[in-house]
Amino acid sequence: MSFSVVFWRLWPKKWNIRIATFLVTLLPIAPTLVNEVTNGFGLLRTLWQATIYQLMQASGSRELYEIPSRFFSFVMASMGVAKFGWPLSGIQMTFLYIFVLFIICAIIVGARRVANQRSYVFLLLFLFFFFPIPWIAHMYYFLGNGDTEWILTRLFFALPLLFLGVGHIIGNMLTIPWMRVVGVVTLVAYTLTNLFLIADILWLNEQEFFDYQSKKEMVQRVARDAGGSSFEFVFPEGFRIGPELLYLFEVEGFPFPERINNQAEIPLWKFMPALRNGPARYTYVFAHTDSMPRVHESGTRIIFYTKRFVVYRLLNRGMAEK
Amino acid sequence: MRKQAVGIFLGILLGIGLFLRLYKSDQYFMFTQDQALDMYALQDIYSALQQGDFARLPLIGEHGEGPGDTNIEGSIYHGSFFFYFLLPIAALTRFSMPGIVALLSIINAAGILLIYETGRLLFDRTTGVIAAALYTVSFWMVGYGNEIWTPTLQPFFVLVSLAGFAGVLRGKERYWPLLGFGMAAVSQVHSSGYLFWCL
Repeated sequence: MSFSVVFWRLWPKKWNIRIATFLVTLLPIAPTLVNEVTNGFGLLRTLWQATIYQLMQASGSRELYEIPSRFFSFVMASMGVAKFGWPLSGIQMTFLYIFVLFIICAIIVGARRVANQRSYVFLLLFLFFFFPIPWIAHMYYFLGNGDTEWILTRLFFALPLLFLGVGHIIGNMLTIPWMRVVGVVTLVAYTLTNLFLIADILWLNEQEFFDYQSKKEMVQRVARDAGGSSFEFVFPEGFRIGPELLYLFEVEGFPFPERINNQAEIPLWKFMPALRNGPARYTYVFAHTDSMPRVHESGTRIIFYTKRFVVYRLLNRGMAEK
Repeated sequence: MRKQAVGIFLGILLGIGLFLRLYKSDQYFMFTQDQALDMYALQDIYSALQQGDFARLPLIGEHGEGPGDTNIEGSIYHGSFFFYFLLPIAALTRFSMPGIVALLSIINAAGILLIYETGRLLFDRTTGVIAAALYTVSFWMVGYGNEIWTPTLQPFFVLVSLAGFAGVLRGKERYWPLLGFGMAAVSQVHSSGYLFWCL
């Protein structure tokens, strides 16, 4: 919305700028456009479904007019002042609409008074229109398989704007003597908190992630030891793991093990054709976290272990058939 | 704030930003199914280009997941721009995953300069420097800036859009292509970028 206002008000006057803008905008989007034109604009239909239809379905509403009510319920629940699914009455809704109108008026009046109007209006409009987005994303993925990517991407949209807004506020604080200390302390606290998080989560506990290095070591180990021995891989993270191991075997050039678990067939999914060493005769067993205790039972020997996975050698053939 | 002081500050921030993003990044970056799929796709595109088999070049990227009770499963997809943007990087590093991750980290660190420019254009140099400092040490930006993953490039392209937007707001017409490219790219690296257009 805020973008469209700018497009409307500040459209470039020079033709070369217009053409250049058109071309560089088209460049990233061209494959999608070609695909849409040749396939009947399915993406538009899907996006429409994902916004309006899904909003109503996932929130349990049957009518469009119920959406604002659900929206405010969700916002209030997100702020911790209501429970999820709490319906708002007509009176509450009226008060909320009045409150929202008041905020919009305050923003407009406030923005008119500040010296650098365009920037403030843009920031406020951007944040105002950003506000419903978490709700849309939440509703869209409400019944799906998790919304981590969508949470992350909307965070990526908002953070730069928040940095700019907070940066401007702190910048102003630094010019007022009695506020300077607060501004500096805020900056230092923010920096230390983030550095601590980076060091603690990324550098010191890297095995919290099922990361590249761990998998590479595992593949190296398997490639070295595999042969006549039986192996079973147990991945506590679940079933959606595997292609990356095959990628490491194939692309990093580790020899693929001849036999694993002494089985004739293995579910290596659709990636099997990517491997160059012929039909599959290897078994990779993927298990959930609750399979972990079995690893410590008799008849097994752990040969490689991290927080996220364990590779162990089966001494008892019966285990593999479980 | 003086120009020279800003230059020194930005230089320091860029150094810190690069260190935070590159230190041990070859060890802790996430490598799961999505990354493997992307690497297979990149290799396929590279091989298609080498063989001149342009029909194999993908028009769309990865498929997104839809809600379980509807018929839109599989019809949401990300743009293929993600692959085409990564391809030169992958070719440059000979498809070495730590190499690709390192270059993505550098691209992410370039956001420090973009956010400074946006802050300078929107408000003043002080705002630009402070916003750049906040971006430099942000855990979210550091933690997710070095993954081979569709959302990874979004902060960079969001900042490209915002820098272009700030320039346009200041009446500088030459920023229009930057704005157009940034906004198009945001939507093509991950389909949630279409929501960015609504803003």
